[in-house]
Amino acid sequence: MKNIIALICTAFLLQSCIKEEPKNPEADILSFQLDESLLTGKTVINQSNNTIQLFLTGEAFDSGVAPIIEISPNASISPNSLDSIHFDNGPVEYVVTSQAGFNKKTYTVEVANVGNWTFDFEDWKAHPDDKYEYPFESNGSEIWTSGNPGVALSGIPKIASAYPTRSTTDAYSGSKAAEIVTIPGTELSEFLGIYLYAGSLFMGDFNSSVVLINPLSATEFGEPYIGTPDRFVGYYKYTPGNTFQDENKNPVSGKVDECSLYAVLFTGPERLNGSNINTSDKVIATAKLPDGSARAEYTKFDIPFIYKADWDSTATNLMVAIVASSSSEGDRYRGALGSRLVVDSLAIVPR
Amino acid sequence: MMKHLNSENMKKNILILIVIFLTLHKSVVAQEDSKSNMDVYIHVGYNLGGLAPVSFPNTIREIKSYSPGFSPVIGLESSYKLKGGWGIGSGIGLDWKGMKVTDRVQYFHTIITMDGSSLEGDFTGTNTTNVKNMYLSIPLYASYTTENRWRFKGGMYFAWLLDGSFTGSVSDGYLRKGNSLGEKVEVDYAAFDFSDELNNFDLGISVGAEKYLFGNFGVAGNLKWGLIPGFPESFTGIDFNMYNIYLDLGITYKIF
Repeated sequence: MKNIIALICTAFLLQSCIKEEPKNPEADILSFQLDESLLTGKTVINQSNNTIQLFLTGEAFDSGVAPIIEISPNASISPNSLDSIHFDNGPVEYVVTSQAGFNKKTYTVEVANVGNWTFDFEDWKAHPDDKYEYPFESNGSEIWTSGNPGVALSGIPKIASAYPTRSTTDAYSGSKAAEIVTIPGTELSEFLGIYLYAGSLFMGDFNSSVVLINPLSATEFGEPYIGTPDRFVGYYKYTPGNTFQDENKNPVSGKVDECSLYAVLFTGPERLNGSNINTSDKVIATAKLPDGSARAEYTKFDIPFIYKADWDSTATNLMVAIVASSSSEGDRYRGALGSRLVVDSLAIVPR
Repeated sequence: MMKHLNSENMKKNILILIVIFLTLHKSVVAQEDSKSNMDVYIHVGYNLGGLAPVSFPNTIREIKSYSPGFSPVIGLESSYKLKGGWGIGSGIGLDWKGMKVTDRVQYFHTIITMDGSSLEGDFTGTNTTNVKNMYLSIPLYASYTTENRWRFKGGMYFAWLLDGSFTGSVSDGYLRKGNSLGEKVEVDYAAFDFSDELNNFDLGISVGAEKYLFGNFGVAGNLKWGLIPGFPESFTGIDFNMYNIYLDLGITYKIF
């Protein structure tokens, strides 16, 4: 009997043996390292739109840099790791070719420059595959991002208006503003227990890789800031949705949704994220909209940064993050569907 | 899980089927002379095998563990004797076809669709699949009995899924959104349940042999090879076809 079983098992194995390993189809830049003395902020590799943002000192910008680049196993890259690159003619492109050959990925390396810290949300791009929108600055930098790359993973229709964060022509100045809306989850997200996506817009980077493991840490906040900020100013309007719901989709009677709008100054170059921005001892000063209730018309706000008493005024590597959300408890998947926040002409005013 | 029938009801239905079968058989036998040309067998066995691709795709890198789980077979068969040891037979049976397999996969392409939303990507990591399907099966075969008490069978089977379960998890890996160029999303654990997507019908080829050792008791082996994929064409969660490929080992008793 044992022999028969062995014979049959062998027959099965002959039919179904493990094949040769496929060649690696991955073509990622995994890390892009520069000496810290050349940087004013931590390098961002944005894997959702294949850009790398460098925060260089003036000297490093002038002399060029020679990054140590780590790529997917057995892939190749051009220009090579340790080759010198210069940004005199704008962004630099790297092409990574996978071991399997058929997969190539082009990364654009750009020097991020926040410039004058006023943001009008006039220029928007659409993600090539997922079609969600994100704003970019007049100098080409992509300083702002949102939770859209995370929402894209839940299989939402690939049109800009399906995502929580998008452009609107309902502008205070110029022709466009940023519209941030709380939307329902999808069938897939409900499977994971997510019934609501609050809209968000923030300075920094969305790190998709950790979005399933630890969603709050996927939102990496902040851009390098030189000087000391004095006030956070801008215009907004807000309409809360009809019914506030908790994280299990149960209506909470009597509760009205509120928006959240704040700016934080903290010690970099490491970014803070959704899990620690409210608690980190790296935070130096905060400017927070005190009242997140409804505003039917564009309303001006002008909020001073409140500094901690014991802050070190000689600190370097400072960073500022601006964070806006259409539901203030959206990080816990609580809010009202349809809550709509529109922001325009945001600025950080220096001392 | 609409397909998960009430088990009490199911038991009742199965009993009714067996009673109908026996009654039909009795009535056939009754019309014959006392020297009947009909043989009736009862078979119990154990299914070893899996709902598996005929040839493993190269995205499956390693089988870490396999177990057939609780996969019994019980069947009642009747065959009609023709000349020279030949016969034809049919019957009715219950076939539990199951497996629990843990494997390591690389760039395993999947599209998970739920109503309007879908997520497509390549998964690399550990996959655990737990299949437990119960079929009502009807074999149809030709048999040949030798003088030294061997009985060989070859034919087909038809099987209807009464209760299907195809669940599992992916863990310790990452998903590439869209395809192998897409964003990497780390996955520590995510469960899946494709039970409702399973095909409700299977038919396949069956070949077997029985050796009668003590009186009417014999040992039996039956290879049952399904020809209809476990999931319909429209299902995109797994990008290769899987078939019910099982070896049923057990004992057969010739009732009369």
